Amino acid sequence: MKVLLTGATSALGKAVAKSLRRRHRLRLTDRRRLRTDDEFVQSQLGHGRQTDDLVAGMKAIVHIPGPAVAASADAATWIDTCTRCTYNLLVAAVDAGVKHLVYVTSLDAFMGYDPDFLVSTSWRPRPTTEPAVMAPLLGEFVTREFAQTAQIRLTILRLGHLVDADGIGDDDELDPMAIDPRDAANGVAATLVGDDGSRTYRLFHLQGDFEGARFPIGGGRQQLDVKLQYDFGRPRGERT
Amino acid sequence: MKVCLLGGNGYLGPWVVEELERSSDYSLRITDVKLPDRSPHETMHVDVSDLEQVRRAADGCDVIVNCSVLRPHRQLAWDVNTVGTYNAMRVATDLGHERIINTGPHFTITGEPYHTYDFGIVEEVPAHAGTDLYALSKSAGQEICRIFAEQVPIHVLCMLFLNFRSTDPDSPYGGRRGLIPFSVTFPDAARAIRCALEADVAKLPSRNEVFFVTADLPHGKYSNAKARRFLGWEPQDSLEMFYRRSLQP
Repeated sequence: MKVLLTGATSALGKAVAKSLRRRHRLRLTDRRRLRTDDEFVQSQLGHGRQTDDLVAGMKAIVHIPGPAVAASADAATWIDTCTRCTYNLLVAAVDAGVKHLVYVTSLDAFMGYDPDFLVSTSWRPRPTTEPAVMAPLLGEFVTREFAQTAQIRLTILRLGHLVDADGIGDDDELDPMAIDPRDAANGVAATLVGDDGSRTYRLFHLQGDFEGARFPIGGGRQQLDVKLQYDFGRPRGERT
Repeated sequence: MKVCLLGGNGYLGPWVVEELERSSDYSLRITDVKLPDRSPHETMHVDVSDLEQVRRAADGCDVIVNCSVLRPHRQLAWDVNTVGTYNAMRVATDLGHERIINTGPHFTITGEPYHTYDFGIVEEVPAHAGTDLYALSKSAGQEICRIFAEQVPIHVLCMLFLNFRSTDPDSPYGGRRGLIPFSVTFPDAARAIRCALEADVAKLPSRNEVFFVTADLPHGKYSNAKARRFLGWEPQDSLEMFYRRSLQP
């Protein structure tokens, strides 16, 4: 299957590309250049013909939204890249007959809940006004309108924080929202493998599965059929 | 009370100015990308998509009324309707304002998924703008308002309109064309904004409240009951001439 991957220069994007290329033919894109053996098109996801050309011939799009350099981006850039650019991508995708968009975002919008709560996909996001937390959720807001009006199938995958398991020792403090980038990437890949086209909208949460993990992911993982391989040397979590 | 009016020279802004001029309680700072040729009020050239310009515009003001809007342009619509609304919210909260008045079209909340199929549509529904550029970019802006109101102590009063009409048949908004069942005159719309400025926010159900600003219409599609109840707004202009057979020429 031909798949377009946005945000390809990000750490997650690189991991996702590596996972997807086992099964799919990839076209990568990002605001910045990337040296890769895959097909790559630099794009700002504007509303012009370049975005139409970018999505042409694709069966699915994996969209990792956000600024080119997240750490230094201001609020306007966060909001713009997550809303307008996502809209542009979707308008072009619908026009080109792309069947499926996977929107990859974050579990950060759920950190406001009591850590004792077993927060799942059936809980309402409660983002802070921090642009890096709020803007990706606004992007979700945009994508859902396209799915609800049946213009494209949509999968939203909310991920924990990327933490390289190889860099974490048994005694190191571990982010309770950690997920190894390779597991995250396999989760993204699973959204394409497990999509039989029967559902217009799917929503998954995915983070590492270890004792003390912040969010339960049982339902999402089972539906995604992804085996998490990296437990950061911790005991596995409860099957909630 | 000093009011910073963003988009003060657009469709609705000048009517809001005229309404607030009736009271000595208000002083106005009218801002827009294109300013009125003459005004007795302070004016300032402001692009709402620029945070620092909005910060300067609101400096020394007690409240922001955001009437800025841009419809068809694929870049500017998001700049104004979404980023601009973020900027207004950011500045209002930084300044410790008690409230902000946001405005928009009805499909900021009740877009085509509601408008096409439903009757008895009320403000208390999950926002679904559909995928129209104008609707969705305004809706994303209002979603930003909702998130701010959830997180910080500021009241958002979101005033929604659809169609502006005039009872003057010679007005561009008059005439005998069909009536959209969410219509209001400009003077009544401006009065609603004033009511939002003067409402007791402590009596509002939450810090983020949406109000349909429509005349009394018998269609059963949209209602102004909430604006009447919580803002004390009462439309003064009847639009019966547009739907009563006995009033047709």
